[in-house]
Amino acid sequence: MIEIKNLSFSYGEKKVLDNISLSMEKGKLHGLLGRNGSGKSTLFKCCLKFLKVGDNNILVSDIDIQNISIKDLSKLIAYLPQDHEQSFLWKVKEIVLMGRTPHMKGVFGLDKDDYNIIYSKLELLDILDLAEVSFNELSGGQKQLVMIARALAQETPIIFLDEPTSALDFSNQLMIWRMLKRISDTGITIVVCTHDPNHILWYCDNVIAIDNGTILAAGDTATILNEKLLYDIYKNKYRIETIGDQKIIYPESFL
Amino acid sequence: MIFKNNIRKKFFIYFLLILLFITVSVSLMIGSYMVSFTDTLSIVLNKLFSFTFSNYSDTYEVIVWDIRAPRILMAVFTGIALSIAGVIYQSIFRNPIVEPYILGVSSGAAFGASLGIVYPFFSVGVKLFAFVFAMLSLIISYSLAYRRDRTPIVSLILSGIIIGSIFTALVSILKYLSDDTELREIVFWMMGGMYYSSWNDVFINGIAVVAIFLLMWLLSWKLNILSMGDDTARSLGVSPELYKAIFITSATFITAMIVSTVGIIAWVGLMIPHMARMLVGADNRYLLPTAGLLGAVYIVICDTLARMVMESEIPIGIITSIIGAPFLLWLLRSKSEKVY
Repeated sequence: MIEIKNLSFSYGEKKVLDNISLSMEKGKLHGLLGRNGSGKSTLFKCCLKFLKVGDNNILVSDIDIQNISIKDLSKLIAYLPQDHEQSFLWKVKEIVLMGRTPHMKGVFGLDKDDYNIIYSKLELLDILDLAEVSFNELSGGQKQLVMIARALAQETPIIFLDEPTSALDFSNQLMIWRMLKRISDTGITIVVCTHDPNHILWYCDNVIAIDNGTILAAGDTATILNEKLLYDIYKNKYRIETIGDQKIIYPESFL
Repeated sequence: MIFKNNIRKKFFIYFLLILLFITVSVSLMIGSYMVSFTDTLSIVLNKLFSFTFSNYSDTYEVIVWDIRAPRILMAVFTGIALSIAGVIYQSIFRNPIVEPYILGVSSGAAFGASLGIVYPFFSVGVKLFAFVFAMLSLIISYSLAYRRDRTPIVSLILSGIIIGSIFTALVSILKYLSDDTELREIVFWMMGGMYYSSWNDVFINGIAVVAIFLLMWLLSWKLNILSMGDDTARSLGVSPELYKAIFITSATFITAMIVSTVGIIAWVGLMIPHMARMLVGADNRYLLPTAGLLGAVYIVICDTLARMVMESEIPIGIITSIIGAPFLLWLLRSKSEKVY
């Protein structure tokens, strides 16, 4: 689905990604793990063409993204930025409707089909009752669901999310992850950048660990996310324990 | 359920269209000389279609057609231009306190006009000078902010402030060098007014304002997307660099044209977009026409007051600020919790 080959990227002198090769399987929930400044966001930005990459570095659905416009790319990958504060009074349905932009036909180009699609996405996420509500009045968890609805309205096979749970309370964090799991079960490939290894352990099919612009490990979460990998990423010791039938990561020392 | 809200929005637009028509008609009739409804209608019909039904005096014809009509139409275009420029800037800069003069356009125009007033031997006319320097300030601010094919909003605002203050300083130098008559003229120009408007100005500005309004309206969905920020726009397939350039250049172009014809009119570009947003929400497909019409009504009323409240005419910029500022304050305090 996403094929990254020998990708390097530098901001001026500073090398951020160093010869990365990676492949992400279709329909899976992928978790991207790494410390601050490890190159996670840069990798995202390269895949989305926010940053310039070379020929044949990144293939999405076997298409070299170098050869397609951002409009065509927006039909392949939807993206949720970390921050989505709004300066103006938007209704939830208007925000979600923006996800239809890549499919717009005419000038104002939004027709009844577009409305039907956004209502079905809102329903899928159980937030249809929020359609007429002002976005700024929503709670953090609801805002995130609306943004996910917008990404779904884009009807892309792939969705990228940049730390979708970082501003949420404990129960909303888990609610968003359950929702992402549900979406990936419908065949959509999801790539999430996160700072909580437990979330990856509990929900992600695959984990990609990045450090210093290189891939430490990538593959099936259950197989490769172990104490050694956590040490390699964070340079601190962590334990993985099984409680009931659920694994949990915790630091060896709390002091 | 889906379309109910949009019907309400369309209703506001039609309502404002009728309100504008009424405001313009009343404004044609009233002033230091009151002209009756029949005479006014007859004069307008006669001029437009050579059809007349009352015997009005020639003085009335001069008052209605040669003096009032051009300045009222100029007021209409001024209101449309400054209000939609305000909407565009606020959306692009994702900031509700931005006004059309943010990139130093007003200071550039003021410098150009002052230069034309103090050194008339350059004479290509004050208006042309004002326009050239207004556009120049845009070009300089934009190119200062542009680096590595990005134009970040913060850089744009900063370079606008820098260019603005340089031109303001240059205006001060010209004021210092000018004599009493010139100084008076500079001060009056900077407070704005429709009194010099000719039919010629109406045609030139009218074509530019209507053309740019239509273009902006056609692109209004893109403006919605741009107000979500550069990364979101890009991920939805809308190039922020390309469209930011189109929107900012168009908005600045009509602002520069209007400022160079009628001077600096404060507050409209900031206040009207807020009022319009309270009526129809943030969707630019409805916001642009609503703000344009609302701005036109507001400027026509202010200009009518400007020529009526005192013995001699007072600059319209004073009226737009004196009415506009407290009104916006009231509006924000009473409605803000629902809107922002």
